[in-house]
Amino acid sequence: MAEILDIEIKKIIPGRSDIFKDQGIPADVDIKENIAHLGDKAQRIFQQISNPRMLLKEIEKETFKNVFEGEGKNEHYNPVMEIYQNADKLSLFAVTMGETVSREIEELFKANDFPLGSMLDSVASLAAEKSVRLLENKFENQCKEKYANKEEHVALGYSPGYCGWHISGQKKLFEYLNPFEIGVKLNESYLMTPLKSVTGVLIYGHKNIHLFDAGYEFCSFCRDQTCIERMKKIQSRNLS
Amino acid sequence: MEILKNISNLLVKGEDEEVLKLTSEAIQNNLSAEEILNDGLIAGMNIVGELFRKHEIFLPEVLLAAKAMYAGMEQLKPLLIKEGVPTLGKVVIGTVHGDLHDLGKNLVGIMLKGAGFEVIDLGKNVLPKDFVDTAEKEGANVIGMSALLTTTMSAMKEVVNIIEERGLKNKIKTVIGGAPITAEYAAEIGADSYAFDAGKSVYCVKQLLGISA
Repeated sequence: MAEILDIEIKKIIPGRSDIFKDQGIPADVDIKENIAHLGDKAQRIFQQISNPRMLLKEIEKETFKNVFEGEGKNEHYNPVMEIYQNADKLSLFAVTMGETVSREIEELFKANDFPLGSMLDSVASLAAEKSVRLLENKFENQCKEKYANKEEHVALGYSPGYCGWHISGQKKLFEYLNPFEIGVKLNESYLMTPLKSVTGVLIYGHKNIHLFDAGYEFCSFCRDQTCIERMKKIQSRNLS
Repeated sequence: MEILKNISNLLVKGEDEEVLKLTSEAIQNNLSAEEILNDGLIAGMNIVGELFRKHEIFLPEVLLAAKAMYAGMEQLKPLLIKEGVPTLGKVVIGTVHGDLHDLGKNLVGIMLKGAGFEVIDLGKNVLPKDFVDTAEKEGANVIGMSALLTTTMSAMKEVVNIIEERGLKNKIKTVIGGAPITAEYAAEIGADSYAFDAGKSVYCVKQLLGISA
């Protein structure tokens, strides 16, 4: 059964340091007053106009196999196919920050307010990522309560378009999950609107199933270091 | 001239209201639009570009400066048209068909305008034919394309193909960029240049047009 949840904005709003990092400012640089003011303003706007929502739907491995294989365009060797097969539980998910934020970013750029538009874009992107972390924790806790507390188990999210899971996988994921219920649509290029939305699968299992060598052919073209960072995190995480 | 130096300095600091005020003052003092543009606004943006390249300032400061530049340009625009001030060249930009991500493309447009190019922004979800039709109609020298998805980047090749089919390869150059794009991909599809980011796009376009950086 699908579960729709509103997200408390205070739980996902990114902190100043994350916003400035996303804007390309190194951590050791002193933030000028006018830049700090922009960051605060973007946070305030996001708080006022975003409408973050999430959708969760558990899925059996056999059914997920069909969703994952999508249009048959995945990389022949990819980590997700190994990870989900060793999972204890799977759940499809979608999160969105709502349409109004995307529209506001567009309006700010149209009005030549590039600094604020760009800052709000960072806030919304980071909030979407934080929402996925929130969902991972929620699903992990649900699983631990329901299926016996396995201390070394974690839940992590994987999305079409990353780690060898072809973006065309969105089509079947949408058919099964129906994120339209929270206002997320998919176009023919597999692009979601509102833009600040994320979909994928949450995979719950022993932490070791999530560890892989990022040496796949497609890894050499990938600029995203998220997988490596979070593998380091779960390896060092005290799960007890 | 002192007032132009002040415009440039205030632009570097991102003081949009002050830049607007001084640009109006310079116009009232009968300075030519070309002088105000080149020695005030563009001179300031060139400093900003250099500081950004050396990592002495970062994206928010560049965008504050760009906002100040646009404020000055709004004042100057009627005069630039009246005086027929030439630009460095015309660039048609857009996010390719199927793709709605336009933040990177917008930054490219801002940087190019700041460097003195005329930018025709077709927006997002632009059909391959529309890029070439517009470039031909407007006499643009360069087409800049952006894509964020692996599924949409193939539209870039269609643009390159249309240019070739119409025999425009020597007239219209192409530069591509976006998260999934690499220099190898640019070479593979026959694009003339690859811009890693918005800052690099100015360098790429200048290089394609033989303008010294």
